[in-house]
Amino acid sequence: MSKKLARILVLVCLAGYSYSNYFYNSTNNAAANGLTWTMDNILPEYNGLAVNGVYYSYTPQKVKEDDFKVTVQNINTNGGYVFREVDDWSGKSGGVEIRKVLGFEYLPREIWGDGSIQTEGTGTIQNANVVYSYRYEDKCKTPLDDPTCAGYSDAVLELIPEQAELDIYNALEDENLEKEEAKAEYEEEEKKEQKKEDKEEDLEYALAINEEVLEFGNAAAQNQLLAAMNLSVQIGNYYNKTIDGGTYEEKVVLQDSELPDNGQSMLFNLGSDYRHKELVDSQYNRGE
Amino acid sequence: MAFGVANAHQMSPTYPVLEDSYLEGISVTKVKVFNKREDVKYYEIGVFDKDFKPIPFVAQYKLRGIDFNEYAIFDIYLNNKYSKDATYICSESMLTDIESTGLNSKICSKIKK
Amino acid sequence: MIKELALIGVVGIVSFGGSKSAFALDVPITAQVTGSCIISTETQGTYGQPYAYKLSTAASDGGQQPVTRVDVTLANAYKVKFTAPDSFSSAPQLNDVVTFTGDTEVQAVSDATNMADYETDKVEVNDYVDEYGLTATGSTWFKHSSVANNGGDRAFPSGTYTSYVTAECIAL
Repeated sequence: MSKKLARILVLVCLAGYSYSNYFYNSTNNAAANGLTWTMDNILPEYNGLAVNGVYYSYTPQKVKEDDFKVTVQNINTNGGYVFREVDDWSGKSGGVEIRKVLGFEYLPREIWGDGSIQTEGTGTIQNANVVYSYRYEDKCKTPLDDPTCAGYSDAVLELIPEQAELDIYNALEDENLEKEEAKAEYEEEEKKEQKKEDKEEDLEYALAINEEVLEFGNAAAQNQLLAAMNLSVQIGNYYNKTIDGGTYEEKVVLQDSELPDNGQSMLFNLGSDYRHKELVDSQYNRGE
Repeated sequence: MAFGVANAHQMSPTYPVLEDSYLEGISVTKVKVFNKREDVKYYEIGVFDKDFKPIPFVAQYKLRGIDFNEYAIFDIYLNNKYSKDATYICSESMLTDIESTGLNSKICSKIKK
Repeated sequence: MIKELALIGVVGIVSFGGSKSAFALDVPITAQVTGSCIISTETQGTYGQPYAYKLSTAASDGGQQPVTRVDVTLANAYKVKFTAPDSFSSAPQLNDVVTFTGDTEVQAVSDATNMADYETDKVEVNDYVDEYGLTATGSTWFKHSSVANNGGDRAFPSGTYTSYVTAECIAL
């Protein structure tokens, strides 16, 4: 019930509620183990934590006629009290629980000193319940979460073990640097060599090109020479050459002007013609 | 001191004032009902005398649906012959769901004389 | 005569002009304080069944007492009246007469000095109705008890039983 009411407290007492950078939560019962408590044991160690509300409840046990006062308070580390609520039960009946909610304007955890419930007069209290609601920045849950968080440098220094020797590093004396320098020198030498070789190659190349050019020039001159020579050659004599030949007369002359058909071969011819026709037709009747 | 719990029925003002309306012989007043009960969807308005006997009145809605987290303003018109007896204006939750929280709430404001 | 009158007139004018007359304007600052009463359900009640013929909201009987919270923003402006259930609002068919008893008590207050005596000062209107004068601004929690006994100690038929507490906040 108290946890539920404390959560409700968070919803009610917050002003300028923002979802973007803050987490909101509430503590457990601060008075669970006694009527005094240290806030360091109650509030989590989140960076930038601020308390915005307190909920408390208890049941006084007293006789109506008795004087009885109950004070719920938190000391302010800067002096005085963060809050101090006095419930005066003098002349009142006991046995009725009291529930109170107090709101604050996001007070940082540094000012929250010890809390307590004090009684004065005749009576006791039961079921004391004190819950604090708070918020903290999500990115600075601990100082190490982000370099921009407060206390980041100190937190980093704390991580360094005390017995560690602090060698001040001189980059100029780094042996790796010497190696690097030697390497750089070597590379520079290499580059110079390379440049030199490149120059020589260039020269050779240039020279090679010139020779090729010369050769090319000679070849061109030769071609021209050949063309000139060709022009002077008389080709026409070769085209116009005639060969002495003659005409070969036919020596075998047939006396008859016509040749009669051979009657005996008619049957053979017809047979062969028919057979020939059959063969020709057979290629078209293949599928039948 | 508000705790903002899940189920609440609220009505204001505590002492509504009857004023002359634009109609002759008719008085008017306003009450505001806020519904923060998820289990209640309707509220009924009534006007009563000092013994909680009903008094005739006119309103645009006598039974009105008010959604969760919404409020409604009721304009209540009373004939002047009844207005001197009218003592309370009440809003009462109308429970329709048998699974509701088991609380029937009624808030009565007292007409300022 | 005329000279004297004139002199008086001049003196009168000088006197009037000599005294500084301040023209003051009263600017009223008004406020209309409107109170309100808020009735909330803190805890829903449930019936336990310690015996077949008995339904009870007591924790020892397996039930849960409903708790109502009343907030008032104007002191001495409201009283609250609670009516415990005297019948079921919904139940299976019942053949016997059911006997109800109920009560309301203050469970918690938000102001020790001004609210501690609410319970001792309450008015029991009848067996079912309790009335409290809300003399202080703030919140008061009320717990309600309800017991239903079936007639003849016969078992309740199976089914769902529902009853309501009525809370009325009445302006004084």
